[in-house]
Amino acid sequence: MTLAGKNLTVKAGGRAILDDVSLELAAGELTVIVGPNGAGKSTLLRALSGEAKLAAGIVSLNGRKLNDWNMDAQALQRAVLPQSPTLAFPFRVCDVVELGRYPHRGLATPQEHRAAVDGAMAAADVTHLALRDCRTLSGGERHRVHFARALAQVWTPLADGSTRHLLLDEPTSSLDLSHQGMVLARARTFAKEAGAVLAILHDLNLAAAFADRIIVMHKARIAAEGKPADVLTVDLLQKVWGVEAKVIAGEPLTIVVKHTDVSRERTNHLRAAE
Amino acid sequence: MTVADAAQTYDPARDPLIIWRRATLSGLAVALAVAAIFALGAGAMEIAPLRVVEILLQAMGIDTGTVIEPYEAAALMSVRLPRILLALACGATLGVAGASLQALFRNPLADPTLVGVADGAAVGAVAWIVFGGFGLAAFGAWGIILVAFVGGLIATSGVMLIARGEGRIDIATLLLAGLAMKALAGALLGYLIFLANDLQMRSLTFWLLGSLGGATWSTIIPASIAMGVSVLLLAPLARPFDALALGEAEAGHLGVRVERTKRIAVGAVALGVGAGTALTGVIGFVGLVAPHIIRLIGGADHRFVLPGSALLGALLIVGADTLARTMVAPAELPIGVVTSALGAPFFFWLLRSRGSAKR
Repeated sequence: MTLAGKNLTVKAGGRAILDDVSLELAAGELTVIVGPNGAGKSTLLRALSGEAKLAAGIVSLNGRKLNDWNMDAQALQRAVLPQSPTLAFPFRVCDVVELGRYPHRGLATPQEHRAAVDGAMAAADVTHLALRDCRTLSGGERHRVHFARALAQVWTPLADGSTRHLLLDEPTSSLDLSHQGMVLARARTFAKEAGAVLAILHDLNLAAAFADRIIVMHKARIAAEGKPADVLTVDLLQKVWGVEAKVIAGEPLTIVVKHTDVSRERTNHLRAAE
Repeated sequence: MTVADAAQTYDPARDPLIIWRRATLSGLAVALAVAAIFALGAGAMEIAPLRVVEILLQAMGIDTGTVIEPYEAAALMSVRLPRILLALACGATLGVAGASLQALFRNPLADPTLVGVADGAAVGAVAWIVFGGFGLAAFGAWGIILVAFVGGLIATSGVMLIARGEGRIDIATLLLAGLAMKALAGALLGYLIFLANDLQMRSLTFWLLGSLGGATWSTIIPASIAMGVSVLLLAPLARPFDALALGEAEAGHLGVRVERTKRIAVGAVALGVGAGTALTGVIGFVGLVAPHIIRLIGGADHRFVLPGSALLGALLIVGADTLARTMVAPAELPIGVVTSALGAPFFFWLLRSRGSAKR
């Protein structure tokens, strides 16, 4: 049993920005959502986390309706990394990561808390920043701090052994190349060991390299889902993103998009016309 | 990046910031005790600090072997002591209320006067004075505290109601609604002042500018109970306030019951600030300045910011009240004039440094 959504519909301004979408995260897997801007990726994630108001549909967490769990119980089973984390006041990195332990207050010893915080900081490669004011960090470093916070939240197994979840909204968007891979590898390890991970990504090569399953969102619905090699085809890339691409088979799959600079083409046409 | 490295980085017993915070809180507590003793001695009849301590000890039944003049003891115990205790209670409450509102609104510029609490309470209290206690004067201090609390709660609830869209409170709207509520409260106050007779007018003017002069044992006891309840309700919210720094949605994902936290915090702030305002009038800027200085000293963790703001708020009010009493002695300045004269330049500096931090 994991996190699942059935017939989820979310409306904004009278328009469905998520239209009758159903999905269930698989335990032990990293599920990646890809899709163009405005396809409903973040809305799906917010629907699953209970943040978005549903016009229709049901979200269930480990076999029970989301609202049947209290806030603490939900937080023990699922951590969320937002697309652009913010911090209103000057907290240190270690203090921000420690906030991830909030739902565990009274349930773990100080040593267990510290082990979780230290482990999560090491996993996100922010240990060397532990005593820095979080607001003085670069965008990518800050994103990793919040990734560590989410990890610390679901670090320890639950008393009843139920599945733990990580929901990551563009966890790699502001990271450098090596940390992109590191964060996704860590997320995948977490899925293997502890539960299920859902991540929104824009980089299809990263998605192909790390995803156990890919879900392609298009126009508020799921356009395709399955193993990366089965889903990411030349036809689909043309249909969903409108790009011309080459897909090179292999482990992992490599996608090369042919970008054309329309403005340059137009200049060339003009020159030819002269 | 090994576990061994990680283990070195965090040990609360050796965390320099935590040690620094404890030292700061202890230092503030000592400074506050010293300031209170000096404040008790200051005034038209000077009493030396040591003598103040002796009088206090004897009042508690501890014999210090010195002879205390009865008039000295009387001035200290029945006039100055209730006043200083009120200053301590009001300062601590304003500090905690300010820190709580700043945490709630995720905005370091929030202040009890900002969301209409203080102004609503002022309307309630002024109405009580002008209408002679609504025929309920027998309730004495409890009556005016209740009316001020209700006024503060109505104003704040109105502001929150307007700012509430789709079940969540929008902060930008809330700040603007607070401004509108302030204007409305100003109009009501103006009308009440227009209705007041000359005698009421004098006490009103003084009261509106803020003064601790009205403190007696019979008024400070109910007010202190109300303020104590307010602080006790806010203290356990330190960790939820920390989580709120991440944003309301994120705090929710961490298990914080955000709407409940908001309701408790706003109710407690209305109670505490209402009770304080009922006795002292509107004292500006302490609720803004105290938490801000505390965060500059030791960071934003509310397990430090709440007690720190309470101590510093109390220190600021005791200091401002002593200034107000001694600067133009034997006359007395309204304390609101002192706190605003000191607080407003600080506010300008705050705005400027925030502007330059944003670049």
